[in-house]
Amino acid sequence: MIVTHINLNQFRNYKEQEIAASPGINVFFGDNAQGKTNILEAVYLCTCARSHRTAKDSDLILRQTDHYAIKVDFKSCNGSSESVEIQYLDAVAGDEQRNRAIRHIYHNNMRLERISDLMGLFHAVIFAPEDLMLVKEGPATRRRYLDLLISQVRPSYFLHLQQFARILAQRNKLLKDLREQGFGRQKPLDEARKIQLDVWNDTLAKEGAAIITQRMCYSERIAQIAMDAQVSISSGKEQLYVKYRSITGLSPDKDENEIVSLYASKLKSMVCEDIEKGVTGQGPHRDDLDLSLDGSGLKPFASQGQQRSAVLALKLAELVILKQDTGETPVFLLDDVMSELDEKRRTSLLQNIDDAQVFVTCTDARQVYDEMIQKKAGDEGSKSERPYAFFKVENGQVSRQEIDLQA
Amino acid sequence: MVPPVDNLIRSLSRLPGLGRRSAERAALALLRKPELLLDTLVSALQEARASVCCCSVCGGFTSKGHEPCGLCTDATRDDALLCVVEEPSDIFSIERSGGFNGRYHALMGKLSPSKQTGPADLRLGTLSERVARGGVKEVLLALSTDMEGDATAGYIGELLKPLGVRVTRLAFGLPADSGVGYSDPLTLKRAITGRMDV
Repeated sequence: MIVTHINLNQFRNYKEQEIAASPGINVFFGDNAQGKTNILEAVYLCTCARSHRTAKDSDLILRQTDHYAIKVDFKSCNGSSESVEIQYLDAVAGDEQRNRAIRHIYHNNMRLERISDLMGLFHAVIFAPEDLMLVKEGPATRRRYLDLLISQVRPSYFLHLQQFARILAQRNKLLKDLREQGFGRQKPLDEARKIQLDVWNDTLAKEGAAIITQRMCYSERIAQIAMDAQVSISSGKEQLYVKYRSITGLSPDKDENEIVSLYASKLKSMVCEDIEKGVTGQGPHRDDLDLSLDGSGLKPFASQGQQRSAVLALKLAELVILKQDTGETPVFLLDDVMSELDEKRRTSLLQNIDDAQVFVTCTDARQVYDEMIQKKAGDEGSKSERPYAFFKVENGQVSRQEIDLQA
Repeated sequence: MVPPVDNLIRSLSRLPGLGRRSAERAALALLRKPELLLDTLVSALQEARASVCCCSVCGGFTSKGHEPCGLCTDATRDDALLCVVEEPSDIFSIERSGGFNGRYHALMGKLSPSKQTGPADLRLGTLSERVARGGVKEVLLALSTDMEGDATAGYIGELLKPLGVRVTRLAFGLPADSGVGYSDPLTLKRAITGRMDV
């Protein structure tokens, strides 16, 4: 996929900005806090309508305004010109028509009815300092990593996620009501209430199993690819293990129907506990992707460098799966990787770029030129460079710069 | 805006399907032609308020003095087949389809803990009574295909199990006269699961 134009309107620190992108390497340079990352963020938003930095759309709006709009024009690998546009209107207190935030998404200027319709239209992978959260933070970040990846290659997965969240809310509400009525270990449910909870157990198990099945399948593929990547990043010194951890008794040979009954019986066995807590204790919303290096947990035991390598391996797995399943080369978004990653890891990353379009932010344009543009041309033994463009970013303004770096 | 006009618009915009803008249009049309539109609407509303009620048997709309309703008393209809719907208005939809000639039972909602609708808030007790009285051989659940509909169907299935009656549910499939390409993934997935022999 090749992005041709990016339009930002009241987005982060940009009032109005159009960027005509090069099909090769696009370098955004400038001092800190000028708005370089915001450009990558906007492009990434067009994949799943989720930012890699914040869960709140209102954070993305230019200060003192009440909406933003971004648009990305791109060409897919079969040559068709397409566009994705996201408009977000924040809630305005006192205005009846806008008492709730509104998000409109357009594909080729046609309004999409659901966010799920956006999945799979535009692909980008982002490598950013925030990726380190995959290792350092709790299970939610790793579930999100899995969910965003699978949603892009299997749009129906996203519908299951939405459905699961709704059923979970219903079941949790029922659990809280039952708790308030004094049920629990001391006072078991009567027959009618048992049936009432059972129907929610069953519907939850059905949706939950659909999610678990997909997550297990993709976790195995990620494990394979990430292990190979880690071996090459660490020159064969380290083994990275990735495993999806879910309800007990789960094994990869189980099919979806078996998982449904496994999860349903798990829910049934935990009814008393769940009522006392007022929430559902087990299921895809609590699962995790276990990461370990040479047999010991990554978070407590690995060094900073090892953690960075593991994160890079996971992100490369994301990239490979996107490529394999969609047949498209995603757009690369590299946020400050030149200073975040050491030379060896940079090389591993750059090897995977091939002929993909790249958007990279940096403070030192020279370094990017040396490592990504010139070196790359040298590798192939030809004089021809990949097309590239330099953009200077200064205080919410992007301007293309013709600079001669060959000297 | 003058308070009575504003009041009218507000009341209209609380109706389903009417936003602020269309409520405004409707209100202004009513006021422009009071004899033609406003007076007839006022008397229609008054009449509806005075005489429309829900049938004590099926829960569908009927007028006072006509209870049980025409559908419940029609001798040509099949007593062995009972169709369960969520809302009285669903009865109209199924009647319009012309594909059903049994009796009806409206629940007045569906199970939804988050909306505080439990089994006691639905007409489930009268449903069990109707079935227990005998004569009903099959209960057809014509419920929505969302999760609340699924949960309600599951609940009724369990509720009626001891009575030994056959409980069926409307099929999930493609809309009539439409191509596979126009269907959303979820509908298609359910249609595949519920496929049938040619």
